[in-house]
Amino acid sequence: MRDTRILMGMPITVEIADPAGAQESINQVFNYFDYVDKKFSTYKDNSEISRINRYEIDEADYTSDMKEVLRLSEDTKNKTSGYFNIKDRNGNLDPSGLVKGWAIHKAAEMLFKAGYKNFYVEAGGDIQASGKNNSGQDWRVGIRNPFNQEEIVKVVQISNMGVATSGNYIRGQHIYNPHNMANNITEITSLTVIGASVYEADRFATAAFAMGQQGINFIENTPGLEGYMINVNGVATMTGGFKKYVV
Amino acid sequence: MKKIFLSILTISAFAFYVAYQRMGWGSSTLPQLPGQNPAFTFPAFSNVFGNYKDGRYQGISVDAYYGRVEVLAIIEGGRIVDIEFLDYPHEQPTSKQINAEAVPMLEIEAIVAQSAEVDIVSGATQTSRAFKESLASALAKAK
Repeated sequence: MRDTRILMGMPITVEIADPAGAQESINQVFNYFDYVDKKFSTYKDNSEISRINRYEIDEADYTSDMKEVLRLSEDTKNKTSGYFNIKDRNGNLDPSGLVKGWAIHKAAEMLFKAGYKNFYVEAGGDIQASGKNNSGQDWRVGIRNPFNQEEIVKVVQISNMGVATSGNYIRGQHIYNPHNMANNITEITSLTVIGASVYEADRFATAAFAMGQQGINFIENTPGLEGYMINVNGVATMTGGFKKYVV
Repeated sequence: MKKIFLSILTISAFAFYVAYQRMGWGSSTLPQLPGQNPAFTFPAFSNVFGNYKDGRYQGISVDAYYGRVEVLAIIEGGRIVDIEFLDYPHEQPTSKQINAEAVPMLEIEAIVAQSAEVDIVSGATQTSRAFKESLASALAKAK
């Protein structure tokens, strides 16, 4: 059973391979993403994050989810030498680089707690996959070609793991180097990270992408993560353990 | 004696750490996020979808550093059914050569399109600010 909605400005897909998969469970996941969007979207005037950026809420009154996300953002900043930074060019807080992976993780956890074993949650190209697919195999994940969105350039098989890709397919440059704000990242175009949790994969993919071509070294040197980086010339660099996932 | 005990303790701790790291998620549970609130309660919702008026709404053109992004949101039955790109920055040729970093474990290959069947695709989708901004402006018209 599979369903897709567009929420948070991106397609979100949930598939449950368990025979008992219920639409109601999938709807709950979509509702959760909508809840997250209403709280963390910097494009919604009434979101908590927008109100925080307008200094309308005292820090003591932040909701527990907000406190958690801000704390995890700070933690990520510290673990990435500041390459992950939720302060944008204007000094506002924008935790969207962390919230997506965090929300996917939470959504997967909801399904797991509901008793499901075989499913995935995918939001905007980031994935948490649990158990097996409908054929009883590990989930097969294709890495999109950054130069042609209709193609995939690598296939990996995962179970109980997360995959996240940072990049700039439409040259939107949604990631910039916080240590050098004038220069956008140009030399790499896609960085896919595999980890135990999509939350870990996502936040470190975001930070590593901002490091430019050094990012893959950072992934290589971070225990529990593997990565596949594609540069602007269509050359890929993969970490030593990445191949074990390749089909 | 004390030294031997300390050594054993250190080795045990390391072995435990390695075992712990390798266990990963196991099959029993998802890992807990640091500081995760176990008493997380699911919020109540009403009228989550179906807030938009049917039609085709063009978003504003937004600077995405390498060019401009402009989207068209298509609403049917009150829901977004499609988002089209009216404009997006095109590929820019570059002659910049990338040197492989001297990390021995890293491997390099040219990317090649694959034809294998997959369940899911991972890729950076249209999450750029420009995309969201243009889409938000389109949806504002659909309210």
